Amino acid sequence: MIHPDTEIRRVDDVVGIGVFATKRIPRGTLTWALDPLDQILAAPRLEGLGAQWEGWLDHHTYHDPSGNRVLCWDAARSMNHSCRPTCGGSDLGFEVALVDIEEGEQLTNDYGTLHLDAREGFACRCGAPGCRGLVEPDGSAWERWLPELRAALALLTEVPQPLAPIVTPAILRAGRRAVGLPATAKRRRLHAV
Amino acid sequence: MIHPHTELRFISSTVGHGVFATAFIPKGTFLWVLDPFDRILTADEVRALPPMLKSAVERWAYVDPTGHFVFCWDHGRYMNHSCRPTSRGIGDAFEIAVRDVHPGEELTCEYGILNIAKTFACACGQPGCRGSVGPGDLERLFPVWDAEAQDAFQHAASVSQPLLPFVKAGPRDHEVLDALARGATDSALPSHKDYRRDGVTDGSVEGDGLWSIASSTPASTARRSRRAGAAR
Ligand SMILES: [Zn+2]
Ligand SMILES: [Zn+2]
Repeated sequence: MIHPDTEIRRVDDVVGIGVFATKRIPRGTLTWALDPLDQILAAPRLEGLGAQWEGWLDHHTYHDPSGNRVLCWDAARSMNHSCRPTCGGSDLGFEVALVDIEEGEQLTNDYGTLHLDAREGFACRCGAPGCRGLVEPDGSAWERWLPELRAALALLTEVPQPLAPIVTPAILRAGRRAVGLPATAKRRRLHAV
Repeated sequence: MIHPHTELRFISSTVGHGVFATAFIPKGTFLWVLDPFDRILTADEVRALPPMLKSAVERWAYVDPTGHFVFCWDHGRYMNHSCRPTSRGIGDAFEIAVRDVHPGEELTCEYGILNIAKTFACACGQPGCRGSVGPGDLERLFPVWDAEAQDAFQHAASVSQPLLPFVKAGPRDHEVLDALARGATDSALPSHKDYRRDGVTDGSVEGDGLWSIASSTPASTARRSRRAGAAR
């Protein structure tokens, strides 16, 4: 589920729609969490689909690290790519604001971290400083954002967390461990607003 | 799946969002079809959801004749009610345009068919607005709804149907698809009255929502298929 202080807005005719903050979302806030209404489509289900679904899958789903496709039920599936993303961490089963996201700013991901397959690379026009120009399947994308993720996850208990009811402590602990933070350094609870 | 020539728009804080046509869509076009990615949830599954997700399902799902909650994966779930809707239901898997839909026009459907638990006040503003929409409307109005669907279906073979490859058809829907494939668009369609969930009358279900999470009636599935058979 996407952070509740967000909405879908039209960006332009090329990009289509995107997800925008309707209020300031501070760094360290959970911006998305995988939830029971999201659908994880494993290989057998995908193989049973006809060719008519191919474009649909590319457009609406992303690859998880195990080769499944994930269909988010809400605006999360409309998040755009940026080479300087405001959110990161999807492989952890949740995402976190890597920076303070101001009201009206777009929530974005580095699609390089989303296990693109060979034909899914695209020319990027995100306009961010350091835009890679070409976004391609990229094994090192995760490492690229590790310092930002670590800094953001260190703030988990410092900021309001409207998505706290959706994530389990085990998921958060595993996430902290994955970025090299002590899993249970502080036994403080998230502020569910 | 909602027709590709539509988009989600914000209407107002009272109404919320709605679905609007971005291009001309002729009468007889399927505006929505049930597809394999629309979630079908039992009442128990909905009850077990975290409260934030439970309220999303209660707000945007509808209840099918077996008492399951159908939560559309796409913006089809934001279609609003109108007493003069742009589409009527056919079988379990189709909404068919009963008139031409023009760019910028809102796509609407009839909530009276969707096994609602409570009467709600309607302010759709359409000529002939019933003022309130309730669980009893189906029993009273299904002949009108059936006639509109039947009339629209006459056009179904002569217009473009971009949603057809994506339908998840149930038994009654296969009859509709067969009729369409044969060009037999005057064939008798399944009636709206067979979409009624057994045991739904005003006040007979728990909860306060439009689609309250009712206690399941295990017999309803069996009874439903028998009735669907009789409708043929
Ligand atoms: Zn870029
Ligand atoms: Zn009305």
